[in-house]
Amino acid sequence: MMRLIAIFKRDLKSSFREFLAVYIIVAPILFAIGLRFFIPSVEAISYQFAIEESLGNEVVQEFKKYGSVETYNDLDKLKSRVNKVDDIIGITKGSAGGYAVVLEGNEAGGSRYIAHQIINRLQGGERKEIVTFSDIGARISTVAIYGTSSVILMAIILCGIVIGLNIIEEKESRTISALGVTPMHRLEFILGKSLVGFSLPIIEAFIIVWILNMTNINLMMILVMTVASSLIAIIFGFLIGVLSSNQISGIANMKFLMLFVSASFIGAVALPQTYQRFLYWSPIYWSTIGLNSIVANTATWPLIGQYTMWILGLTILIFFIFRKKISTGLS
Amino acid sequence: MRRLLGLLSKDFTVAYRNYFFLIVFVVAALLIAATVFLVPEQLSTGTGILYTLDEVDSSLAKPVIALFEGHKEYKRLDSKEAIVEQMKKNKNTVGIVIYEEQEQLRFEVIMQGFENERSKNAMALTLESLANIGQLQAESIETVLLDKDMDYGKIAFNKSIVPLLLLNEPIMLGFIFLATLIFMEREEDTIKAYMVTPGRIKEYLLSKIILMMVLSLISTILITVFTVGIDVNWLMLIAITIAGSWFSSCMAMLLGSFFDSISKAMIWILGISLVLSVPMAAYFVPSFSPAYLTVIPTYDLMFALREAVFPGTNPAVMYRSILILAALGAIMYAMSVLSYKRSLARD
Repeated sequence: MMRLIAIFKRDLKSSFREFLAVYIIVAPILFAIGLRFFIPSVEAISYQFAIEESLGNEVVQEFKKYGSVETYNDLDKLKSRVNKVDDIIGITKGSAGGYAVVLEGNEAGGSRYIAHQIINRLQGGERKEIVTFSDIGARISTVAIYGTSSVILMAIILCGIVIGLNIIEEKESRTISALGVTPMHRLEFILGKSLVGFSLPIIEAFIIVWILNMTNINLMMILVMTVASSLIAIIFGFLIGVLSSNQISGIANMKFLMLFVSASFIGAVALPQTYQRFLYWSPIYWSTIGLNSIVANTATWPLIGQYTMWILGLTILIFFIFRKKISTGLS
Repeated sequence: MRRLLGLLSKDFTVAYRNYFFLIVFVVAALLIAATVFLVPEQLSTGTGILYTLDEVDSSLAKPVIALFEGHKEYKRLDSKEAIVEQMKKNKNTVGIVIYEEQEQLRFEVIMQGFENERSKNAMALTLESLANIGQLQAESIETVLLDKDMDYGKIAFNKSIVPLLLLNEPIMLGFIFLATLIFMEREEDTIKAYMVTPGRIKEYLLSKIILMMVLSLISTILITVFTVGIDVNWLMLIAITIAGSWFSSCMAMLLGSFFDSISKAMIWILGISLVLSVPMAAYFVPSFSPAYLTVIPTYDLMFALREAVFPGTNPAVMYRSILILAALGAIMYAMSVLSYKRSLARD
């Protein structure tokens, strides 16, 4: 146990000396802070209108009920704004004295017609209160859910990368060979190295949840899912470490790891349910849907148990496939 | 020129021996396979509308239902309970219960609960307009179309994501690979050995940038041909890829000049990569264009790639993006040359 803690302390000291651990800890926190500012602007997405000033304040105010408004005193400037890559609908005076809607031509379906509907209202179109609203009580948007789970996942994966880079450093400085002649067992070495990958993600996950003001979610579930997901990151960290002869090839291997992580995450959030079975082999997929359901407050313990079992099963399978490689790489 | 060719020969050999070309081919093959076989052709990126009819006179609701049935985002369910159940599973949906009161069509819109007031107003306005569609069509509102009419929504989903793949992989490839190459040579002190030759630092750096451009072009061409096909604006696609690769390589070079090991630079490399990929959030939501997003050069680059892959309405974005990337790359290149000269003089 003492040897195990000694390896952990040594790894931590080495990482802090090169500021690597500081960066690894700070990076997800900075992203969480960025996300805190990003989420409200995404949730406020609405139509955009560019309106010729001469149409008057009444027109501007009516359009502001449905989206953000920019005003222009020159038709050419208005057209130039509409021609930019984002979707913004221009409103100007028509040649016959009425209104004209200026479109670029590639606007999404709904935004093409909304301006006509607002103008119709302005021109005195009959208003009948025929729409009522209710909601199902979801207070967290999809952006907030996916954003939170992606930052937690990033913190977990980065800690795995620290393990990988530490192992490569040990190989380059030949300390692994030196450790081989000490009474330390290989399992102690593996567990000692893994402690960074277990401890840092837990601390980070709670800081991220606090920054994003998601403290009303089940923190115990977050703990379980973070620990289970850390196992994958630790295995990946060891694989990067043993498969890479130097830090350069470590980066190349990391590139594949990132591709695998991002594909699993994007697939889990974007693919329709029927296609998701193609991702069942990926433990990151189960981590993603687990974290998403916890943040969305739809998770139940049986569900979390099921996701955790998938992660554990797949991680053990990956470990057994690469067991010899890891063992040889660490000797 | 001969010195540059010599450096290029050395850099291509180093890249080959370190499997850079193999990585480019394997990653491109994986992306192509995923795009063609895994990503569905039909996938809605907008809000899904779930609707049901609650004892409505069919003749009254017929025009509205006909419109709803014409959209792939609209799905008819049996009851309000079924709508709520589906909405809980998919937060990117809104429900509508269509019912009749005093011979007037009415709508109960079931929102998730986090939507903003403007979205609700727009939804109400759209439904009111649908219920009075005859009145809307009677109004004469001019429509001025600035460019060719092009509906990106008609492009198959798996093909529509290709510009994102090109931005994320071939173009940002230089960012990681060049940093890797620089630190590898720094560890081996190659640059110090090079400095005792008549070679100049700008040639040394330029050679690596050219290598990244070639790798980017290989990846871009492979991914484009095997996903979208050959019917793209090749001239502009190649020009944008070169400009994008120039920008990302120069940025990696500048970043590399501040650190003495790749582990110290790693988080910055990953962090900046993530910041540069943030504009992707706007790809499927073009009305989302806050200033902090549009100032990131990859925002214009992403739409420039879309314009080159799916030639359509806005060629100006391609020229603008190329100019901006070329200028930013040139500034960072000049700064890198100065920074490397200073650090070598210090050593």
